[in-house]
Amino acid sequence: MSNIAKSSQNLRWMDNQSDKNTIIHRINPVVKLVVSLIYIFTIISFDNYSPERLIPFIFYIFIVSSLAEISLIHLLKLSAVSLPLIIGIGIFNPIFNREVAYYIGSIPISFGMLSFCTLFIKSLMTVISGLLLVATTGINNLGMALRKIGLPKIFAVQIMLTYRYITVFMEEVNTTLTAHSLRANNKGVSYKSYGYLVGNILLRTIDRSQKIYEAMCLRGFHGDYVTGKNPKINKTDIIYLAVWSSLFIFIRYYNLSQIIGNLIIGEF
Amino acid sequence: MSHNTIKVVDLHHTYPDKREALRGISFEVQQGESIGLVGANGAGKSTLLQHLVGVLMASSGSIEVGHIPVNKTTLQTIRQKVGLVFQDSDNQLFMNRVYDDVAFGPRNYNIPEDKVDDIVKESLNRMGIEHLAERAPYKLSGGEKKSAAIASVLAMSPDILVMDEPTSGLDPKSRRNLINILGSFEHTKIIATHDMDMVIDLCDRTIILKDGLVAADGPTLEIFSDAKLLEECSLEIPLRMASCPKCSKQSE
Repeated sequence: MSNIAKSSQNLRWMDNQSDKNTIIHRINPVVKLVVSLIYIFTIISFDNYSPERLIPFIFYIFIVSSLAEISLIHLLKLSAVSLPLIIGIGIFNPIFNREVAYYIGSIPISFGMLSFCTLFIKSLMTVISGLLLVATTGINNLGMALRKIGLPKIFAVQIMLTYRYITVFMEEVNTTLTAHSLRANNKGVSYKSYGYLVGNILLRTIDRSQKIYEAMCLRGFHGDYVTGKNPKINKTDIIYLAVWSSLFIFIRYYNLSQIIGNLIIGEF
Repeated sequence: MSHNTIKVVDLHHTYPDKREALRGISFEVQQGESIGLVGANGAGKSTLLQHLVGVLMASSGSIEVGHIPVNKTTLQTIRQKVGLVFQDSDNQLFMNRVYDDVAFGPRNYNIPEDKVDDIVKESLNRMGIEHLAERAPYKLSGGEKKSAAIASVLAMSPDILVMDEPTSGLDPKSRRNLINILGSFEHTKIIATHDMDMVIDLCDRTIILKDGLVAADGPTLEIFSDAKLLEECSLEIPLRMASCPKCSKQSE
């Protein structure tokens, strides 16, 4: 199976996960969105030299993914797509900033290494929490939640249609590359045919997206995804929001890693 | 609804690349009629269908659906009256579950959710695919996708069903099932197709398009008996009307 086909399946995997009926899936989409946003904002609010302070935030991902019965390994595989970008952004930090922050045993740890680790953890956790949100909420409910927290219609629709466009795009890329490989005698895409292929794919995806959009308009689509669900916020939702927000704020202002470390080595 | 369900007058359409797809088409459709729209590739069938639901707008000429002119201000009303079934069902099914796809239209018209549920079940039931409600559209077979696409249009309770190649890509059994189901509908139907045998089964009247013009309009059997006309329009006599090659050889 080609990489493109695999990516397309991964997106469908996310859609399928969102149809489950676990305790996390039943939480109000707006609440899940708000918790995810608080999680992300808390994570990015840390300075660049404290990777250890971020470690307790992994528990959120562990707990939510296990309660939602979503494979964390699969989420990690999906988030691996973002690794080249993250590494590309931070790879020069250890090279240019060699000032030693502290030693672990006799190994010097530079500020550059710390900032790279912080960036890596922050980015990875942000991506995974985003994937977890989509996998437990579904793109349509997420669109509804975005509208409820006040995002203008045009942006919410852009996000949802872009998500749908990615699937269409990958299907068309896969079809075009398969057609090419069947006549390319096991050779890759040549420099000469590259432009034609890309242009062809672009035109096909635009055409197909247009047809899908027309199909939506013909059935009354006017910019809002109406999911038919308009769940009220109940007690469980409030508890979910309260517990996670308090925990994030606590971890933000108290060094939980240090507290646990002190507890383990018996220092108070 | 008026008995003059659809009235097309001198309809012209020119694409941005200056290609004239429709060059002055006029016809009327009465309530309850089933019309086969046939013609060679590029004759203007799909372009005409897209005008009936306002996906394309006429360069000149006019279309009325139940005395309501098709224009930008009437689109919402027109699209409730006329349901278009696309040739490629993959373009029509875009939600995660068949249920949500069928419910998409009614929900957009703010129908209460309990009523939406009834509408979805009834639409799926009419197409005989209740068991597919929870399935993902992309996992369905071609015939199942087509049925789901038609169910999604039926859920809008249209008066007129407009279909673009409904039997294309279907195996013989799925094709026959679909023809039987479509035959049971009392809607006004306009079916663009190359499946001439289906036209005999479903449509009393046939319109032949050729190069963006109406080449013939009349009773299906009468039109399909005119071998010369069909040949001029790059069509063939339907299989069941063609004489058996073996028997005709023996009689010679």
